[in-house]
Amino acid sequence: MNPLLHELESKQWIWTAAKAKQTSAQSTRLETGYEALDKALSGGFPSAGMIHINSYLGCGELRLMLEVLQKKISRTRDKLWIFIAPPFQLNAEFLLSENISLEQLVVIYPDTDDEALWSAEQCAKSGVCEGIFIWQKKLLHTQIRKLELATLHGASHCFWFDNSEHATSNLPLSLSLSLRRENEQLQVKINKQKVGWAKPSVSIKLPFKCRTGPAFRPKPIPIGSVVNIHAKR
Amino acid sequence: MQFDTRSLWIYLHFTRLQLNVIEHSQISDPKVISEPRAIYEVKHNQLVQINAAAQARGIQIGMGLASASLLYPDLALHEYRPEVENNTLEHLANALYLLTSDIVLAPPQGLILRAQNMLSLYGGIKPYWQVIQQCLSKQGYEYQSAAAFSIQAAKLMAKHGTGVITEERSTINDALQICALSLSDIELKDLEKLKRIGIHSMAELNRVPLSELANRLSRVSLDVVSELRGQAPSRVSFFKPLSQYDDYIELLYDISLADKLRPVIIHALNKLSDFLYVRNARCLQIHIDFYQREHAPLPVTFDSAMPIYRSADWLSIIELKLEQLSFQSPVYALKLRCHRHEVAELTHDDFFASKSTHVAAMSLLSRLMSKLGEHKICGLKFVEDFRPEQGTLTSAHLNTVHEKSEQSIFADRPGLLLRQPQPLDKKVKVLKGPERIVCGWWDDNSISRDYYIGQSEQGQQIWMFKTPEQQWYLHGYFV
Repeated sequence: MNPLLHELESKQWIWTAAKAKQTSAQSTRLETGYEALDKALSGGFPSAGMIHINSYLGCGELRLMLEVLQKKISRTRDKLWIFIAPPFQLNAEFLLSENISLEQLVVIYPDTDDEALWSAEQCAKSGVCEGIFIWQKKLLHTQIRKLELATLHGASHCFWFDNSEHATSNLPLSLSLSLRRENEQLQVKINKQKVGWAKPSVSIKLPFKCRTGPAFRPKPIPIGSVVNIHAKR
Repeated sequence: MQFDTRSLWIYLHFTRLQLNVIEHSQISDPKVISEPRAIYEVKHNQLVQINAAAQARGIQIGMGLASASLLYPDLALHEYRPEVENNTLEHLANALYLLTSDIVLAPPQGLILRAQNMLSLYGGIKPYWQVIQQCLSKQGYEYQSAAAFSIQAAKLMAKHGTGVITEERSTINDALQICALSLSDIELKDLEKLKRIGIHSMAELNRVPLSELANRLSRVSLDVVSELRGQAPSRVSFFKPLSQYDDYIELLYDISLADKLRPVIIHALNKLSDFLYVRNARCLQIHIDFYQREHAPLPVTFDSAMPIYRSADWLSIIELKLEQLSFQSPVYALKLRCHRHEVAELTHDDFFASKSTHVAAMSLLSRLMSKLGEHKICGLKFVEDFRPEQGTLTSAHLNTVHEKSEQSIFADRPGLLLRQPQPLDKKVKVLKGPERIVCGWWDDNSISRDYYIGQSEQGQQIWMFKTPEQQWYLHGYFV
C-alpha cells in the first residue's frame, strides 16, 4: 500500500466504502422523520457522534435536533440532557414542551473554553447522556477529534452549534450541517458526512408548535364531587 | 462498672504503636522501613520506641538523644505524640468491636478485652483468640498479649511479654509468679518500699499477706496489689464506638506537591471505607484538613452527588480537586473527617432496570462538580408564572426538587431567553401575534407587553414585544 495512504488510514482519516456495509446498516441510523433529509443522510443521523450545525441563532436548529433525538427507539427515560454554556438563558417552559423532564436537565456554566470542553468530553464518555449541546465559537481539530471519540465511546450525541460565517471543512466530525431558513422552509445543507458525500440543500418544513396544537392539552383536575362536563367542539 | 474476680480478661499491649503507625501509613519502600527509626519523647529526653534496625545498632529504649546519635547519627526520629496512639487505639477498638463486645481503652498503648462473656459464643478461648488474632494481624501492629482473671494481672503479664492465652487458672498463676513488679501500676515510691523489704516479683509478693502490706503502701497501690492477687474486682468503663469518623495522619516528611499526597490519601480512604462498610453506611461528604507548616490548616470538602463508600469512588472525586490544590507551605499532616453518614438503603429494584444509568449519572455529576465547582452545575425549575422572566429558575443541581406535575402552559415559547430584553435593532417581519401579557401588578414587577413572533432577514425567528410606549424589544430566540 502507498505509505501515505497507510498513514492516513492508521489515523482514521479515510473512510472506505467497505466499512459502510458494517457500520451504516439502515437500522442503526437515527431517522429524522423527514423523508428527503433521511435520503440525503443515507438513512438518518449517525447513532452516535459529534454533529456540527452551522446556522444563525434561532432558525429552529435546536428544535430539529431535539425532535430527532426523541425519536430514538431504545431511549431510556433517565438519561441526561446536558447544555454547556448556552448563549442565553434556557427557557424551562420550552424544554417542557419539548418533553424534556427538568430532572434530567443539567446546565453547565463553565468559566473557560477548556472547562467547557472538558465537561463535554466527560459527559460524552459517561454514556448516560442523551444529548450534549455546546455553543463554542471555534474548536481545534484535536478538540473535535477528542469529543468525537468520546461520543462514540459513550454512544451519545454531541451537538456543536456555531454561527460563524465561513464553514470549515476537513474536521473529524460525524456530520456537519448548514441550516438556513427561508420562510416556512428550512434549508439543510450537508457539508460533510461520514458515510456519504456532501449533499446540496434539502428543504424541510419545520413549523412552529402553536398553542392549539397537540402539545397544549390542559389536564382536567378531578375534584371529588365535581363532575367535568366536556363540551363538544 | 464493677466485675467479680471470676471473669477472664485479655490485655493487649502494643509495644511500638506510633512507630507501627508511621511505618504502615506512609512507607511503601521496604528499604526505608529497614532504616533505624525511633520515637523520641522530648519531656524526659529519652527514646520510647525503636525498631529492630535501631536495636541492632545498639540503641536502647530509654536512651537520651545524645547517646543515640553517637551510636547512629542518621537515626530517623519522630516526636512522641500520645494522641496518635490514642486515635489508633480507637481505630483498633472499632475494628475489634465487631468481634467482641466489651472493650476497654487503656491509653496510650493498651486495649483490654473482656473475654468471659464471649467464651460461650465462640466455644472456648481458643477459637475466640484465633478470631481476635486474625483481626489484629490484619491491622499489622506489634503487640504482646496475656489472659488473666484480673485486668492488672493480665496487664502485668502482657507488658512482661510472658503472657499466655488460656482459661486455666493454674497456668495463668504460674506465668504470673515470675513477673517483676516494676512493670505493674504500683506507685513508684511504693515499689521502692517493696524492694527494700525484698519483694521484686509476684511470687515474693504473694507470700506476704495483704494486711501486712496495708500500713506500708498507699491506697492506690494497695488496690493494684489486691487486684493482682485476684482478691479485688476490676473497675472499668467500656468503649462505645463513635458514629463520627476522624482520622489524623502525620506525614513522615513535609510534602508540598498535592500529587505526592495521593498514597497517604488512598490509605486514609481505605480505612474510611472499612469503617463505612461494616456499618452498612455511605456518605455524601468528606472533609480533609491539610495542616500546613507555616500557615493555617487548609480545609477542603469533597462532595458526591450520591452516597458512596468505596475508596476508589472517593479517590476519583478527590483526585480531580487535588489537581487544582496548591499549598502555601508544605503539608505535615492531614485529617480526614466524615461526620455524617447514612445507612445504605436496601432497594429492591429490578436487576436489569435502568438503575445503573442513574448511578453513572450521579457519579458523572459528582465528577463535574468537584472539578468545576458546585455553583457551575445547575438545574432549571419551572414556575408557573405568566411573566417569561419569572418562569425559569436556575438552581444548584443537587438541591433541585422537582414536582412531577411540571408541565408547560404554552407551546410557542422560545428556547433561549435574554436575561434583559434588548431594544430591537433589526428589520423583522411579524409572523404571529400579538399576545398580550399584563401581569405582576401584585409584586412590583409588573409588565405590560404585546408579544409577537418575528423573523429576521437572516431567517432568525425571534420573540419580541411592544410596550405601551410603542417601543420594541427583543426577548428571545426560537432555536
